Amino acid sequence: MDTRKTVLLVDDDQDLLEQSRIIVEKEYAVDVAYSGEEALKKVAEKQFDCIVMDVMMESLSDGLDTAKKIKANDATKSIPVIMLTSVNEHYDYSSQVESDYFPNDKWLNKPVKPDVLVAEIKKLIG
Amino acid sequence: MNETVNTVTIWVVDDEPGMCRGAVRTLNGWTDSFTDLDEKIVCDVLSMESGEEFLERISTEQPHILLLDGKLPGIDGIGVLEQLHKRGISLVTIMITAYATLDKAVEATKLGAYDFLAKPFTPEELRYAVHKAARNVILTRKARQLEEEQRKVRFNFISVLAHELKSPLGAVEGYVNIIRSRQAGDALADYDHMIERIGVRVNGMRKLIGDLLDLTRIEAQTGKRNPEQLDLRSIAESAAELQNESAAERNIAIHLKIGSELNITADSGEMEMLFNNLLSNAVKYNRDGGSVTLSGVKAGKNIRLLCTDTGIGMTEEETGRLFTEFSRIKNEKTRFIPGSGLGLSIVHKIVTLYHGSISVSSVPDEGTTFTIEIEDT
Repeated sequence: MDTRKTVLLVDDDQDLLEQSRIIVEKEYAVDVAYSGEEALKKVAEKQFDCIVMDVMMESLSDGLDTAKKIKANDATKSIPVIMLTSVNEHYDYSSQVESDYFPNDKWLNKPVKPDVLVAEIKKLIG
Repeated sequence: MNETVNTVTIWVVDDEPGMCRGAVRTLNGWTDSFTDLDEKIVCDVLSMESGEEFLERISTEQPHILLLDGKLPGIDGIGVLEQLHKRGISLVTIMITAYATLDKAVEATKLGAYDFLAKPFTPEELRYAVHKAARNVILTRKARQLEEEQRKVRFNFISVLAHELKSPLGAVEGYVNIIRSRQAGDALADYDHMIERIGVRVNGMRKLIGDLLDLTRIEAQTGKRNPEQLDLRSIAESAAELQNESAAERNIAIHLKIGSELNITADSGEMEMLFNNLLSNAVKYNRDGGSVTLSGVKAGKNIRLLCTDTGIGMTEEETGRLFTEFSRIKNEKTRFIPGSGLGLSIVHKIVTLYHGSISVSSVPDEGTTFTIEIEDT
């Protein structure tokens, strides 16, 4: 059994998900979810050490809403979340949103370089 | 109908107090309706005695309609119009004139006057003039609203399009980076799947661009439309031919129930797009081992097409947003099915072009039927 720390990758693009998986899997145990809904289900079933979430999935705010739900739940609010956004999407989310909901989390602009993603996960969970 | 009443403000500029009082009495609080525009208005009238007073007021607020006396002490009606023109203010202006001369009328019209009312006039004549002017006010407002809406739709379309083009690019770029830095090890075979996926995403992008060109061509109507006598059976056969490979891969049978005598006068390119998109969807969203039935019959002067599949189906909520551009139904069942999100928009636009209608009935996990009627032009 994989005893490494577990990371949940959430993206509705199967290829981006696959690419993150290839990289992150080298250091962590990985699980994937293709939608916010699926992510919430997995988070409820299993303990994760970190979540990497695409902000813009099915709807514009799907990833953001999902992350907010995770942060609003006492059982899951301590899981660090890395939010992935496109550079020009990022302008739509005020810094207020970031500091209100994600004081200890990380926002990264896509495309994220593989080593950068792993380095950021490492910073959050070791 | 839920009618709102819009206030139309009218300013009367006339040095005769009797005229001002009469106009206020006739118009203030008067309601008027425009049934064809689905609009009701109530008039709010303010009177002033000189052009100078008017010009001072106009710098802070503006009426919808101006009733302007041509002959005023101080600055006269034409002078007022010149000032408005200079300041770039355009008001729907009705000139009130005691003795209408053609020269004056031409001059005033050049300066933007909308209508003329010769003194003396009855309350009915005044109301009629205001009715016409108010119609102009409403139409101008509606045109502006429409323009604003179109601007928003266009902006939205472009944002979504940019996102839809960026996604495959990002995916391709990601795989290239992984391959370049040998992230998956030294065995070449470990990269086969990635190269395969790069091909799939590039094809998806090409399909999106192709669909986009189809869609804009239909919308802009720039391409030459070539109505000719077409045999719908042979068009359906070619469309089925195109789907044969992907249908065979998944053991899906395509049945065509179109008699050889089913003819239509139409543009062949448009009919091909219509059939290709219908059949391609019916195959894509089918289950393995399923079937597609496309039938066509004459219904009066219309042609009725039915395209039925045995696929994944949709909920009522999902069918509701089916014809919106880029609105792909995303769920677990459609996750790995590629699509541009434009196919049914194209179908819908073509059907509209042929004064037709399209409807859909669907049951989740059982299948979907599209019913299309188009006019044989």
